[in-house]
Amino acid sequence: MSLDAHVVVRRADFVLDLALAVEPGETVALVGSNGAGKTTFLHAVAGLVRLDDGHVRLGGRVLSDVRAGTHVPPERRRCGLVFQQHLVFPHLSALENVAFGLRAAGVRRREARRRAAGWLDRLGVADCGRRCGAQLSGGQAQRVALARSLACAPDVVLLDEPFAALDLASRPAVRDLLRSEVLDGTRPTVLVTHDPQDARELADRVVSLSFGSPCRGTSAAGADAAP
Amino acid sequence: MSMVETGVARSPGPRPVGTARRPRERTSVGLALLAGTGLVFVVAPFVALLLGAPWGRLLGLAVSGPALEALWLSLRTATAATALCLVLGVPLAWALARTTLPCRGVVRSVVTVPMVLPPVVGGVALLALLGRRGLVGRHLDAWLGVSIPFTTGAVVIAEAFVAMPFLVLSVDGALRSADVSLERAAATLGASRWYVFRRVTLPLVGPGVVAGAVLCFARAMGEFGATVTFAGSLPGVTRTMPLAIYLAMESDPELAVALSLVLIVTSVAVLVALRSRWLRPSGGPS
Amino acid sequence: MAVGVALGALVLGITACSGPDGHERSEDGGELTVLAAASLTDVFAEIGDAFEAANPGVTVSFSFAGSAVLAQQVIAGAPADVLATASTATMDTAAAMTGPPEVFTTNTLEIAVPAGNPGGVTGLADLADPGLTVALCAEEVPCGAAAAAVLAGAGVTAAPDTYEQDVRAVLTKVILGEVDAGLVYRTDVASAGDDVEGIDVAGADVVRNDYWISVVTGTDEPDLARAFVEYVLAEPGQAVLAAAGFGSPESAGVDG
Repeated sequence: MSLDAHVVVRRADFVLDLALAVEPGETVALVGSNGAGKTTFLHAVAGLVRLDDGHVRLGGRVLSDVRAGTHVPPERRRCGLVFQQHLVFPHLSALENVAFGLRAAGVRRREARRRAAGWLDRLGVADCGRRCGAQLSGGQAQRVALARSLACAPDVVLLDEPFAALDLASRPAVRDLLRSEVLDGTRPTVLVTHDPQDARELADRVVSLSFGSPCRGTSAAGADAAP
Repeated sequence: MSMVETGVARSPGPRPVGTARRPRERTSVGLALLAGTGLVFVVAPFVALLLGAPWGRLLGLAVSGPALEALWLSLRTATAATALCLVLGVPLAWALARTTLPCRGVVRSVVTVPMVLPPVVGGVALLALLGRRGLVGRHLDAWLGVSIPFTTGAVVIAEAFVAMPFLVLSVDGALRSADVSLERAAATLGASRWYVFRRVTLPLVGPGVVAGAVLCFARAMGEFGATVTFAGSLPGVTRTMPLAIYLAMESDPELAVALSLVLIVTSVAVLVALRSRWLRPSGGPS
Repeated sequence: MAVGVALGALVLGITACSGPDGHERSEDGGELTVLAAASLTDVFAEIGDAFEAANPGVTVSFSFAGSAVLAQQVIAGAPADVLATASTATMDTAAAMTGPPEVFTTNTLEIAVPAGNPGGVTGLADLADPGLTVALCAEEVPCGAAAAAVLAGAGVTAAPDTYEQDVRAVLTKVILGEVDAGLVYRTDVASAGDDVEGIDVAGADVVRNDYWISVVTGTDEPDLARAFVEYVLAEPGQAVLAAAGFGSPESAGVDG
């Protein structure tokens, strides 16, 4: 399953126009300064932002196609978006947070909790399971948010600055986690970061975005041309 | 309103950094005086009522059959009206706060009309719609043989009509100040709009909903004008406490005072119970 | 109705202000506040108008409400000069604060039905029909006490769907067609015009409502207040009352 996106979003002050193709198992890092349109791109792929032009295809499915008037709502896209502010539900326990997507998909409570506990364990936060979302530390919340997205078995993983909310000490651990649990070679991954080192270490390819357009010299164009 | 703010404070996400707390102002004597006067303004009439109460006969009057009958009817109808407002008003508030409904501003104003309308006019309006010769009521009467006025159901409808704006405004405000991004996050996890509403939106604005329900219930308990106009006044069927109190004024003012005290005590007890049950600071319903 | 009264009061106020300086009883005019039963709304407005015309410079303002409420207001020291109630009991309530009261008119009950009489009501016995929607005054208010007496006299156990707060509320529900029948005063049926039909009640004369009027103790205008009471008792006032369907005080009940 591969991601093929050409996202055009027009705003009053800038235009995002980025074409990106990501192969199964491939990780593309999207780098660039604040306001370059990185987050907008992820949200457009996830269906939270409507395209003004272009398309988003995931495997055989058309998620967005402006010409054809297609816009699949976010809840039916199977895009695992991990937000920069992690957005863990403050009123639910860590376990219920991770079980949320499974429950929404109709998985029975007991089974959903069992699977959620497994994900918390894999991400090293099993001991936080009963704690309320609002009581988690930044690092814990980030892992719970990752587990929550991965538990839904998404077709694409979209990571928005996964290290931004973390203190320096916990970054290496989360980076290792990402490598072992997220970038597992089965699906396309887009990683937004403003840290070139993160990009180099985790990504197969780096695309640099500036004022809504890919910079010359990055490999975005090449990837676009790939089959 | 403070309850709504609690809900906001509990939601995560970026807090505005620029709006740091202003240096605490020195207590203003003038402000304190006005605040004290405000408190006296609200409390003094009740104190006067208490002082003038027929304490000797109070218990006998308060627990008399007709008084209990009216109180029980009031509690039942106000609860039913609050439930009706919750079922219809929360989705309406959601539509106002979360969708791009055309002319939302107009709809929002229209929803508040029962608040500014004299309740008697509200009762007349309900008769015009649901009365035996009303727009809809005449068909109900002709086709189904159903007549709404002068029934307990009519009391519930009248109370809900008058109390609905309190719930809608409260929930609308809570929704508009709540963090939308949590709902968006829920959507990316595959949750339908209804599921998001149930599991994320409602719990987050829970305090706002409870605040609205409390206002709604209090307004329904005190409803008089619309009820007497639309539902009439028959003991045990439509004569709620406020109607019984007003009628008692005609014949036995001491009884009216006693009934008023019973109504006040009951309403306050219910509201306090609601607050302590649903608005505990830590840990919401899971 | 309320708007009409308010407008009427406004017009009265204006004519009084623009009138020439008074003579006769009140050299320098004067202001009179009359508390009167709700059923007197139309007639007293008219009588007040005539009284002002007869006494240039004098302003009469009215406060119409249920008799019991008015009696309570007088006891509580409301700044009133004249009290007119629709029952003996309510005038008794205010006795401590009034001079000796006099009966100035009477009223009897009648069945009011919406135009066309959709319920097919013919007499008191129909008020016991559970299939009909019936409104009565609550027994706590004068019209309700009278209705209970009339029904008891006729041996009818009514099955009302509502006991209204005052006679006007019963009349309104009849006008709106929400009830098939209501027991109201003869004068109410007359005032409602074509919207309402009246059906005579056999034996209604036995239970007669006496209307009492009295000067309020401690009034600032005792002479003017006395003049108004006499005006109501005399020919001009009685003519207005009779035209509206009220009975003459001579027919007042033995025990009031």
